Amino acid sequence: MTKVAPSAAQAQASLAAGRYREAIEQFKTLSRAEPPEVWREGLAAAYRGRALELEAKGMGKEALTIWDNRRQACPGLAPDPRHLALLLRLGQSEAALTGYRSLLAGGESAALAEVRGHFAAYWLTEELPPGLATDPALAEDPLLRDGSTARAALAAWCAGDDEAAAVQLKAIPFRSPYRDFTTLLKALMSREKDPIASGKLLERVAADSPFAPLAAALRLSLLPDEELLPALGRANQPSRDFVMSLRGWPERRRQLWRETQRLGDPPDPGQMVVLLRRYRQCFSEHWWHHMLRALGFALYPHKAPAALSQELNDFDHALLGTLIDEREFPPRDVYTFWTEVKDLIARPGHSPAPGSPDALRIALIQRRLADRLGLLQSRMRPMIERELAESLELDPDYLPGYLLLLRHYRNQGNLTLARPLMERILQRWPEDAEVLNEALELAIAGDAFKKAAGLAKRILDRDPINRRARHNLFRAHLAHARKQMKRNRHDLAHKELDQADRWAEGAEHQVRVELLRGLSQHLLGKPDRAALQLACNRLGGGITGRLTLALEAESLGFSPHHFLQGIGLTPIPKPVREDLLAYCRILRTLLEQEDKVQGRRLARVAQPFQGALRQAARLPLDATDYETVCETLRLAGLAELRLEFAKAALRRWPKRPLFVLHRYEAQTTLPAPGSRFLHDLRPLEDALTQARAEGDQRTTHRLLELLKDQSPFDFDSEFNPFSDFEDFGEEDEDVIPNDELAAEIAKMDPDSLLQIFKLMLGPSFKDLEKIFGKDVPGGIRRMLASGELSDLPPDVIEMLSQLAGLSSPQPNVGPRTPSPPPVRRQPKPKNSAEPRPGTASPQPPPVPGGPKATGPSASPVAGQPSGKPGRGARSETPAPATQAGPAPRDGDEPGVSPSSPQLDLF
Amino acid sequence: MRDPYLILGIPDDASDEVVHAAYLAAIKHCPPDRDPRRFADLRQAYETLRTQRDRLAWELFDITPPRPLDLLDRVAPAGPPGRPTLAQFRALLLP
Repeated sequence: MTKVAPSAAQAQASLAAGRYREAIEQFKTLSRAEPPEVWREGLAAAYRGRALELEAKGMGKEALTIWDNRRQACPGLAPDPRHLALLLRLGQSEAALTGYRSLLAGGESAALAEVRGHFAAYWLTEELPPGLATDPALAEDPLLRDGSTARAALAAWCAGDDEAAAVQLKAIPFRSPYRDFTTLLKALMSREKDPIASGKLLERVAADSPFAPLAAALRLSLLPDEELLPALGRANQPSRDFVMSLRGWPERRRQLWRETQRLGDPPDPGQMVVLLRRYRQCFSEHWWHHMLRALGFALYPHKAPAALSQELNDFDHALLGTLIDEREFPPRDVYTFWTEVKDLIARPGHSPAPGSPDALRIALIQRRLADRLGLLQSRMRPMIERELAESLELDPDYLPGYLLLLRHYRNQGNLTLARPLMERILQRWPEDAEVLNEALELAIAGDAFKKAAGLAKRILDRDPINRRARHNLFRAHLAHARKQMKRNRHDLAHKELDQADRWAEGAEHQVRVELLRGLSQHLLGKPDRAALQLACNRLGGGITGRLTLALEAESLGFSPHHFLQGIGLTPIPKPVREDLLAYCRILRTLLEQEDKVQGRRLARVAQPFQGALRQAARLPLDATDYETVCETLRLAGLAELRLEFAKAALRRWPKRPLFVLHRYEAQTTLPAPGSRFLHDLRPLEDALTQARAEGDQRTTHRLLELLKDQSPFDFDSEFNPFSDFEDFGEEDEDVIPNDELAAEIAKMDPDSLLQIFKLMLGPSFKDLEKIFGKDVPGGIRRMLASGELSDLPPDVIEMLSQLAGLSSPQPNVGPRTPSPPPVRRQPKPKNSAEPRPGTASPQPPPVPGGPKATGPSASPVAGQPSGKPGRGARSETPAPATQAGPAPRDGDEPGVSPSSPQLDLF
Repeated sequence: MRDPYLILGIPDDASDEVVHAAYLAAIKHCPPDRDPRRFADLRQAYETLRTQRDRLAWELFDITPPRPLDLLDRVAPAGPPGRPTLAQFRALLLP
């Protein structure tokens, strides 16, 4: 079969498409059929393309062969600059010089200028060939003319003589093949003093310049430290060496950098522990233990290397365990864990000296419990209040600590405790503007308006533009006006309103003043409906304006509903989204400022708005809006509305943990029709799992709290969310298999089961009795028969069936395929003698009441590593206080178990 | 955030005065208009270590694992800027 000769068009098409090998063959075939000169240009271009292609792949020698083929196949062509550059790169400078001379003979051209650049980069650091410097043909060539100057400049700079280098650079003309070098040397010289200017100089060097590698390395050297490290990993070796030299890296740093490269990106914490341990002697005790804890935290929930376990001391174990646990455990456990840490800092009953490092550490923990972890808003409030009060004794110079407690007292409406604390603060910081502002707000909260005005003026005398004081003064005058109006002293009220007007900032303040004037007229029996309606509109109209009016009216003794009706502002319109969110903002502001009255007052004020708000639950809100509304309604205690919004949100985002929480929390605060036990908890547990998976710690905490409230079982005592971490790779021996559990249940008589139920449920059993009467088994029987309990796991159904006196589980337990019940792990017994994987054998049980390893004289943070391998974070720690649980404190809440989940971390 | 002690270039047992002096010296060389990012880092490091209380809080509650750069700076800090050799220039320009 004969081969068909390609057409010229086909060859050109191959060339244009970058199919150089094909193009070379096609042009060669064409050259055999027709005079070669006709196709020489195309063939040369095809060879060039192929050579550059190979060079780009790092196949320099192969590329050189192609260039040689090109020279032979296309005689008479001028040497290509890229060919000569490759010759130089491969060290064949003589051949390159021959090509250069050939180009030079052809006169100035773009190709010659390009080749000069390559030769300039080459001869900048290489010796000139013998005789070249005296070659008369090259005497006037800028390559040689400026070369010696450029080399002298570089040598001077390398030797640290910047001045000499600058002088040499000035002698190099602008149109020189060394122009890019000149720019780069200037950039190098300005790099330390003015890196921005240096960076700008680098922009002048083109990407295809023969000096581009130098520019790239210099650019790398300008990176900030944190970016430099990964960038060095991507750079080639010459660039790395160049940059490391520029940045003053000693050999040890370079070697360590290579080791850190093996840690991965991001660095593997386990590998990091091993690496750090090799350089242990370079670190301070504080830093070493701090970093071990941080790496332990980063490793969680994966298994920690033995190196970490061996280095962590008792305090590290306790602190690390607590930092991990505080994210997910309920408040009372978090409190217990931190108490353990505090007890390791200073023995219970041995308070460290105020202001000492240990005292400051304890105070920091106490404030963290209150503020960062939000336990002041939990049921642990009384204990946390005591902790905060104690923190003031331990850290008496820290004003924010005082203010934290003061604001809490004020928000709680506990002015009896707030006032003496305020006096104490004022004695210590009498001139502090923030303190004076707090005193002013406390005075307003206590209806001491004259005192408030006095304090405000005291602040404004020093700082006339103090906005907080101006605002508080405005509030004080308004509050005083209300007080006078309630006393029927309208003349005095108007004087106060005049004063308030003076300090009013913005239209809203002025409308509030006008509103109170209108209400004063209303109280005097001269109602101005139009003025009040106008005020309502100026305050946002809709439910927002009406709420503001209702609040003001209620504070003066009006019934909000009748008042709004009386001035023609009913029926309340269904709000739009913005109106609803503004309504929530007002409610929240009110709740923040006036906690003490929220319950009764809000119930009265919110009553007229119930219908409109119920309709608003169907508005097209986004998830954040629903969250805001549900949270506001929770704070306001409006459970029914909260339930409406939570249900509406769940219709759009089924099973979203936060809305599940709102729904169930709202439900539990309503009068519950029917049992809320057992069959209601599954969605909450699912939500808990999902919240944990999503890393939503706040919702996780709240769901745990709710589950503890609602579960007849002690929800957390047997369930350890970190069990995977704790028991990594270990068989769980304490879980009773489901079939065994069912068999055990089957053996029991209903009376025994009833007794077990009573013990398990405790006071909650009474709730069952309220629902079912004295015949609890009968009630359960009815529920089983109706299929209401069909969602429960089969073993629970079995147990309930036994309790109800049924011989076997009901056949119609539900349409769902029964799934295995969730396996809950038992906590490991304290002082378990069994070593954990990755740890050595445990310590012998500690002597109760034995001496503590740490104390004020041996700060735990700087303490010696325990040196005792395999010590558990909690359960196996030999510290007596930890072992025995925190010492009982005055007023400890009943039910706060010191033996909350005890974990081995490593 | 990187190790704030390294950002400010101070020892682990630095006092309030040392922290303050190091911060002032650092921002003198690196004002916000010249390098806002570096300035922000310096400011954050200063806020983290300003008082003994702040330093203890960092030590107790911070759980940022060490970065390779922290390790390098602690074990083998960089010296003053250096000058590459002619051989390094050659290796760079003639790979």
